[in-house]
Amino acid sequence: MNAGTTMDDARVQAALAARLGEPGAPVELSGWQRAFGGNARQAFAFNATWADGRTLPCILLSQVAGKHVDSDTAAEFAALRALNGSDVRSPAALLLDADGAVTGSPAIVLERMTGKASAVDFLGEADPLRGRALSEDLARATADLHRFDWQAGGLVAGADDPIDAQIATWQSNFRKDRLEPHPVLDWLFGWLRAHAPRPVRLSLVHGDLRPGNFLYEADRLTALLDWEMAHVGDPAEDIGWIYRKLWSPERFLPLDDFLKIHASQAGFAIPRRSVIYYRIFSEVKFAAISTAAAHHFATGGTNNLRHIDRAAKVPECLRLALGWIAAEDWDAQDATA
Amino acid sequence: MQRPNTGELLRGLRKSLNEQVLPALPKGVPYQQMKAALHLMARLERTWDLAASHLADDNADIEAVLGDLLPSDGAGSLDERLSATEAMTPAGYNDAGLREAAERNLALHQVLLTLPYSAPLAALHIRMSCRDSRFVGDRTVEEDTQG
Repeated sequence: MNAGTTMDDARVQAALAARLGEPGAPVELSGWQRAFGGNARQAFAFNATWADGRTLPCILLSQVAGKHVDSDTAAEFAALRALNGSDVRSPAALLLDADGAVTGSPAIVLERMTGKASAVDFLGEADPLRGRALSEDLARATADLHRFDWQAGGLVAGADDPIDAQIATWQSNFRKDRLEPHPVLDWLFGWLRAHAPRPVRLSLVHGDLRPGNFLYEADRLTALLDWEMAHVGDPAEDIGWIYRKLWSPERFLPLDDFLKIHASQAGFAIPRRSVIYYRIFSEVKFAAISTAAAHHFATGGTNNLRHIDRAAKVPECLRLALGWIAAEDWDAQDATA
Repeated sequence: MQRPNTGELLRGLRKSLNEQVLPALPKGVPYQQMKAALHLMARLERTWDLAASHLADDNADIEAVLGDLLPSDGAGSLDERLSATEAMTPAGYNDAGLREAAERNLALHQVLLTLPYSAPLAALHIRMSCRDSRFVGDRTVEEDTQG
């Protein structure tokens, strides 16, 4: 559960108003209410009115203790700041409170966008034509992100080999958090590092793009949300994650159709084989996140019962990953990879 | 005394909580916690009596594969490697035999971490992950492995 449910909202609002405004001209906050922020964050919705009369719907996202995914609020803010003014559908980044002066934990303030984020509603859409239209727009929104010039936006790759660095990060987290040896999962990390395809280009990758992490209205996505895992990497990574079995839009839009739309919008094509590789990566990453959640529950880091049995998710991830590995000749040269 | 057995108790507990307690809870944290607890109870109901056979099968399979891959005695043998593993005492067991099987399983898994890739190990990995899936109550194991 969120650790800060006893947080003094009045004190938070006062601190926030001062930080959002100019010296001597604090911002006026109205319509303050707690909102759903997922398993890892507390959220507060409000409207901010600046001294010049400008009003903007906003959301404050504050980290909670006992998170099972390590994330860097400052990096998330930097990514969103770089996207501000671009055609990538993302909320305006308004304030970074990296030292936790406002809520006691690192927090960011973003523009509050319209639309709904329900994964259940998205995946359960009864009208297949609407489901397809939304999924096609997801492909376009994803492509807009992947063609964004992150270097011009002031972002850096963060490592000489950002592809290997991403795998290494999850491998390190797994080895830190595992409650038992997990030899198959350990082996899979080695396999990933030995078989990573060369990306067609390096892109800003969202890192957690799936139903539930974007807003939509009618047939259109209005914003991609939850940029905590954004990083520079292979754009195929996002598509592999979007098509994870648990939340895949496959029944509305087959993967090959998604790839065609993405290529048309992005101006470059992602090899299907790279996406299959990142489906394997996605299962390994989800397994690593699950071992972390189990670790946090077992060690008292959280009492959220959604995490108590997360280790039981690992076998299916491993089975799917091994199945995809067995289905391809990964050692053969692939001219398209 | 065999009735009601653990599976029946879990089923009754889950049914009662699902029908009488869950609807009375306000939406929010208590409701979500109860939903997660009920989900776990359903899984335990499907798997509560599988641990002994699961551990026995996993240990036998790993030992058979390692028996073929490693020298039968001396340096590099399974016994030598097992003696070099870190002792891990599994928590939560009441039955001494089951605890011993779990302890051996953890030791065998540690040995697997040290071995290089080979075709027999790759095949073992697939069998282990399918076995684990059945043990945790995944409903789609047969369907996926046949597809």
